[in-house]
Amino acid sequence: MNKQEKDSNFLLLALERIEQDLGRLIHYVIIFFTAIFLASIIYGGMLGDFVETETVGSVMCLSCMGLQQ
Amino acid sequence: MPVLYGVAAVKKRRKKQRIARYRIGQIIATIITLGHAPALWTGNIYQGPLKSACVPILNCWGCPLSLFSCPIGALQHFFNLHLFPFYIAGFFGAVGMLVGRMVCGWLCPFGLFQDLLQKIKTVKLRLPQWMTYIKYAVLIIVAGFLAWFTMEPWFCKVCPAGIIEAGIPLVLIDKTGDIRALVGWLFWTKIGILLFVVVFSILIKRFFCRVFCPIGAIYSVFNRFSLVHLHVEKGKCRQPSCGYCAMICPMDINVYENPNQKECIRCLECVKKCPSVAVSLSFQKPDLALIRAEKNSTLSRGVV
Repeated sequence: MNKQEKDSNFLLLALERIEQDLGRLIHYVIIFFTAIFLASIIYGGMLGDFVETETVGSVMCLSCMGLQQ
Repeated sequence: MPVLYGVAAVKKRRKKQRIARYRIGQIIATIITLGHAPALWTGNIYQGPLKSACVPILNCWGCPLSLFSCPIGALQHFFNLHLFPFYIAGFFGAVGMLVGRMVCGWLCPFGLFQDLLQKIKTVKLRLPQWMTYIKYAVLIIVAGFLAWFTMEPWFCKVCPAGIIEAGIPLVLIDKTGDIRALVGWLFWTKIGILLFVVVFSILIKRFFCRVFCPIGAIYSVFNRFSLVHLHVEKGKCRQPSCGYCAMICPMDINVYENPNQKECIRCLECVKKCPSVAVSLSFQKPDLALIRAEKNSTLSRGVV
């Protein structure tokens, strides 16, 4: 086996490994950011964002519908 | 069994057209989000715990039929109060990371409205690419800066979904005349915006979604990275002689070039109808075929 063949095999193995690692990495990145966003929802809820949203959503904003008071 | 491409495939498929799956999703979502039936005889807005939950789509929370809150309305409300919207930002981020713009295709009632307008047989136009960037300006300037600095929900004031879901029904069902007395220039401006959107939605596929929708602008950023995405097997794809996916796409996307571009709403019509079954829905993973092709070409060149 000459040097070029050895190097080619080495590259092949390295790419196989990168392929597997990249698949895992992308999944981890998506899971990580999704977890961050879910934590943001929970933190917002703790700060009272749900109550605030419910309160403002229960009031009919006439000006938002083009009706002037 | 022979596989038909191009016009032959179109003719064959037109014979057995059924209601699209995403259309069923849109109808169910419309019934659920606008499900406050008592409003039909009382005219009163829903005031309950469900209003604390946002739906991931454009849904006017001033509509008497609406059970849930509008995320862009809530976003502007927090900006009006000069608060960072942790809940809304997290909500948009989580939905975007998981499905990207899929909600625009499968759940949005205003998207359904535009899809139905598109069925009207008339001259059809293609949208210039640069116009799809207007929605980012709408998001940043109208729903962002203006809401923060003027403390008014400016996007709500011009939203065509708001006038069709809330403004017009409230004026029509008004028995006392109190609401009708409030109709002024802003109402007629909104009617004008709605007519503009209606006319262009007849001519151009999903005109509002592609040009003005700030929610679509947010999700489009996540489209490339979202867990759910589309994959085209280049070996199977018969483009450009076929081009059937681009023809049926409700967003006028050349699916075979890049199936995960920012405008894709993942309606999955291309997945269902591709004559050579080259388009598939998959979960995020590296493009193994592409990596293998690159690897083989590197080895064949003898580059180490």
